[in-house]
Amino acid sequence: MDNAITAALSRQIVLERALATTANNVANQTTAGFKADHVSFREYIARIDAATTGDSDVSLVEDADTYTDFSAGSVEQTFRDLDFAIDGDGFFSIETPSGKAYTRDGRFSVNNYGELVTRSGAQVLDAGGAPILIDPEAGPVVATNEGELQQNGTTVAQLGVFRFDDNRALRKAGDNLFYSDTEGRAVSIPHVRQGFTETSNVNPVAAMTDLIEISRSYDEAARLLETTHQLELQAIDKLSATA
Amino acid sequence: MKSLSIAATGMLAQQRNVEVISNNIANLNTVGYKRQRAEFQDLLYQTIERPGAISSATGAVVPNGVQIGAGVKTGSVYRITEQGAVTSTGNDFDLAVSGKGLFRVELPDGREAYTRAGNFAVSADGRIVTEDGYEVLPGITVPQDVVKVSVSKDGVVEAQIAGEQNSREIGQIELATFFNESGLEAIGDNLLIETTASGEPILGNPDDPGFGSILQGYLENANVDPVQEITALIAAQRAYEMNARVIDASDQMLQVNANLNN
Repeated sequence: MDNAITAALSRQIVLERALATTANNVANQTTAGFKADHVSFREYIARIDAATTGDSDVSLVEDADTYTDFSAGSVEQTFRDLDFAIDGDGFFSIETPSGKAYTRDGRFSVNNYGELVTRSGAQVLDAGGAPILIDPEAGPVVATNEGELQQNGTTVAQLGVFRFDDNRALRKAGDNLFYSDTEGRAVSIPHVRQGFTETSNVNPVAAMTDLIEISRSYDEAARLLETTHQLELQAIDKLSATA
Repeated sequence: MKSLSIAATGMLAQQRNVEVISNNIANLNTVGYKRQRAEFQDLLYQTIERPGAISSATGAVVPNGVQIGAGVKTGSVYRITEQGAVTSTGNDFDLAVSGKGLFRVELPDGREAYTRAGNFAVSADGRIVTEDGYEVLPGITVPQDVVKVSVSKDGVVEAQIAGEQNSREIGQIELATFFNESGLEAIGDNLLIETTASGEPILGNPDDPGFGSILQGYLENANVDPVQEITALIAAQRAYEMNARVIDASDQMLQVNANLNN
């Protein structure tokens, strides 16, 4: 009977984490380039001592991993010269104090040294991995669909778009950034849209249904706990009556 | 219950979003106003099981790990410096910049401020000043008994004086541009000041390469698009409600546990 309690408890623990993940998705539904996370559950068979409880093992649940949904968010027109959205797979590469990072958030600006930077001030890298310099006096930046940045008709830089064989190698680090142990491969002909940003790929309706499902499952686990508790009380009652 | 605080960060972010939108709407008719946009970033992630960790004695590797985000934060409130539409006013001292560049203004404390609002006037002693009476740099004095002041596209100010046949050049309007115009700090009254993020001002005359030209008798409107703002407002409100629903759900789940032993 204790097993029912542990099983229900394991369910409640993973549901609490699932709720935290859903809450994070909902909170980031207006974060540009944000990718939604989901929790996957897995059965965990715990071996227990059969002599004392009668069962040889008990099936619990654990949250094996959170996985990120890398599908593209929709694009929103912003009319800004330095807002970029990647069409298709790939990430912009960013130089940060803790190494190269990757992002789908292409809202860039120029800092006081003329470098193309993210909102947090980190340098945006070109296809070769070098910072991109913009001359503020050379007129507006025009980007081709292949991510070539031009000023006054001359090419200034090629925006770097990097791809990974397995996006699961990327881990989130906040500030809309991902880090990876392996470096991404530069895409030879990327598709970049100027004047657009990629919105969050969180589906608010799905998030709300997830929310309902989580709270209902939580209720059910609680009911299981309660039922087990009642059974225990009855057992104590009946057994003490015969004695 | 982490979800409670995560949803709270979401509500705070949307509240900030609504504040920025309402400021844009409030400044719909402010000369030279540039609309702002709240931009969000995800907060730190708590890694419970690191990706790549070994999960069993046989050396199986966890492909993803468990990463739980801590919510959202306002990364920046970004000023969008795109050109606003211009309206004809017919007033000689109304100037609009078409293209890049800001007018330079001297604050009473001697600092320099920058503005796109060109609704200037003449002070009692003949100087060209802003609405608030701050002198427009580099300082132009309009002579008395002037009939008409004209400002050319490249910022040369000429005065036609009563009784004189030819108009006289009385000054030159200068503009300032910045490497990072969005890095300027707004101090109210349509004025912006330099920061380390914006970089030093680059001075030049209107119509020089990299500088816009002057339109006399016009004013630049706010670049706020009411339709865009209202749709953004609706979206922000819905997002706020959804975060509130998450708080609600977390609360219900806590209540379930609290009532367990009744």
